[in-house]
Amino acid sequence: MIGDDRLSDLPDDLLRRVLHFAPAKEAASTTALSRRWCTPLWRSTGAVNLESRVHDNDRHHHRRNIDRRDDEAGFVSRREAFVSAAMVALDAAAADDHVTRLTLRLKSDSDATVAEFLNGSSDRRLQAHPRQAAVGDPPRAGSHQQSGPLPAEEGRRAVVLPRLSSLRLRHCGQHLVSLQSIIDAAPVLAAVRLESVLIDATNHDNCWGCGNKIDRWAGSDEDDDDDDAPQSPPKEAAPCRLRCPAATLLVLERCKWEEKEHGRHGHSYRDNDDDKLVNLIAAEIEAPRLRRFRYKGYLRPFSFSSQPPELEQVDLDSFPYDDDENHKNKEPNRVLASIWRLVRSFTSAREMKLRLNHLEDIAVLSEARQVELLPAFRRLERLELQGVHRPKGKTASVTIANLVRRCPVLLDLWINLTAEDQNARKNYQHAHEFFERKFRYDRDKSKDRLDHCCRDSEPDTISPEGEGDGVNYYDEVSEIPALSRHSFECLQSSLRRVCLQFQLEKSNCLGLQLIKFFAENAMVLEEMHIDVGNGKLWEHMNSKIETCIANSCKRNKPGASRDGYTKNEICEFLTCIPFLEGIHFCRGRSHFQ
Amino acid sequence: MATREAGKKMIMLKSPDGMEFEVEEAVAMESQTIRKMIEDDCADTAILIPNINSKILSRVIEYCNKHVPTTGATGAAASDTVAPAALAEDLKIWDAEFIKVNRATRFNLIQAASYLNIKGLLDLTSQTTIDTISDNSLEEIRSFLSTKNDYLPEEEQTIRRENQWAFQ
Repeated sequence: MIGDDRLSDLPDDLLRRVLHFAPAKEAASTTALSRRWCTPLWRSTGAVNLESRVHDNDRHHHRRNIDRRDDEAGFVSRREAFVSAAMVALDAAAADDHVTRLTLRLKSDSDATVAEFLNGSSDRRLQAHPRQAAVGDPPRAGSHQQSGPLPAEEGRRAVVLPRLSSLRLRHCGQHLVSLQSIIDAAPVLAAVRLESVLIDATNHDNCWGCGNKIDRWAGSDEDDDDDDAPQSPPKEAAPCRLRCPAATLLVLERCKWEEKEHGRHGHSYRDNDDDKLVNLIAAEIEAPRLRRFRYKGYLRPFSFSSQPPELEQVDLDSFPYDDDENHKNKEPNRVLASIWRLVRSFTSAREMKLRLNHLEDIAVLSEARQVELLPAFRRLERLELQGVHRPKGKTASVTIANLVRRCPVLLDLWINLTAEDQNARKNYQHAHEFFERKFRYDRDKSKDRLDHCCRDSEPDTISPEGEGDGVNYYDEVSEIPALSRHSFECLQSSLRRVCLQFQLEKSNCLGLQLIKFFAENAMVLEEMHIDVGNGKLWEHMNSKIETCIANSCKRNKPGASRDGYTKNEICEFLTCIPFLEGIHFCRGRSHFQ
Repeated sequence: MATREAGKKMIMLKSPDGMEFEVEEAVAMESQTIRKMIEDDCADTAILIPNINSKILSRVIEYCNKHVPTTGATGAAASDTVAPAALAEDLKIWDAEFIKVNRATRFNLIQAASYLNIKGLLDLTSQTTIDTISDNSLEEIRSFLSTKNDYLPEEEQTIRRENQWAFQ
């Protein structure tokens, strides 16, 4: 292919398509490549990609030999060059009716430099009317990338963006007011994605919903004396409001809301306790047309001003504001109340994914409090619950019961108990090897037990019910009081599929209890997926279940799986369940189907 | 030839060099061009894909196979065992591996994606092309693309002057 310029051979419209992704300057500079390129294709690529590198070294770290003023001048002139280039590119885009993509990408080692770079360049006017502004791309290796608030800065000037349909901000700082003004300026903005955005919610006349420092939550935290009685309502700032009137998709991922107050930054999470309470900014979101909502970040007093009626999908991945146990113990109800209050806004959702650590933290024990806190999910068809639970804790099942009980039309239930605990992560590698060895041993032992069962299979007594929960009788899977005491509408008529993922670490673990519970109680269950993530199989199953498997098992059956159990045997047990049609047992990545 | 296999409708795609590829209809319909043919009922017999040789066509099919939505028609429960977010992440990684091809193949893929109208593949190939040439000077791009500069020096000066902002 030497001497064969395949790119130049492409037809114009295809070259435009390729240049759609090129930074504006480079796209424009292609005109000088050869005569083939002399048509200014870059003017009609349908995109404006502004890209610049901000060298932090130039700015802050040259301490020797070089005059600082030279740095300063260089920095400013680069900034000027960038802005004027951006203006030309945007002017060209303004003439092109088909611009669908506007991106701004700044690469730098330092946030401060980028902020400075952008602030200096914000006085210009933006005239493009793009349909889509995708700001930022995944960082490339080696350079820290920063995408900044150019569009929003422009928003201050009330530029109307009549066709802007998608806004994505990544790794940048943004004042809530300017963020709001760009959203307001885009009447058809359907997708708002804020990823790792530092939202500055400093008190400002425009951004505070209802004055300063009122305790919004005081009215709803009642004062009865049951298990989860709240302490005095936490001191919280008044919520700041984010309005997205046209948004159908809202993503808030790892955003940091900060408030500058009393002349200092209020964003340091690890200040003393009092500060933490003050600095946890409450946010109220107004998005009446929302269909999909995704939130990832610290659990904060978050709420929707009105329930989005058409909500379809909710994905909530939150961790407590402070995972320090002591702190949590001081304020157990804060987490509890916050999460349920937030979840309450989603009662119209069809799909919900909750990722929580720990499951126990949001268990609502008393009836009275359940009535008060727990909403009914009348439309929820699919629930995905992910989170670790404390091995000794007994209330994780209460959390599950809390949720399942309030989903009358639930079809699909996923429970994943294997989500990694953040604190446990560092021990993981070490533990892994140990478990590898242990599981191999356990597996062999399981096999022996099964053989044993096949020889003399007398039906055994089943485990103690009810109050036996939490006591580890070897080999016995107990009932789950939280679940078995109640009736669940969805179990009777709708729940068709259950997926359970858990680590089979001990007898009578929650995962096994759940298998048993759903196997026995879900009347229209068709499928059950079980993923135990290691080779240790059914050793700790209730003897009744074990007998069930054993009865249908002939030793040395051809086609026995590595673990000594065939899919058929497992199915055999589970087909005792009315209507059950298939079971998918996966271990690691292998599926037996 | 449209045949049936395990309840899935199959479509036969033929490359100009005589190779035939039998693919599921859903996979073939990742291509808007083929989709239109199928919807217009022009796809009863094998579909000849002009200008795309078997090597490129097989790669395109590989891409479509990976990107065909797993939900819905296939009916297999397997689709739901992977969380959508994880799936998207996997796809990205897969794409990155898939596009590690030489330049000639990549340009062929661009053309194939354009003719067959497969937006995802077109975006992937275009973005990759840009990634390989960006951050280079014009001279470097020229030599990388083996583009012969056929401008007269004064012509090039004029062009550079007109778009001065792009050459700073």
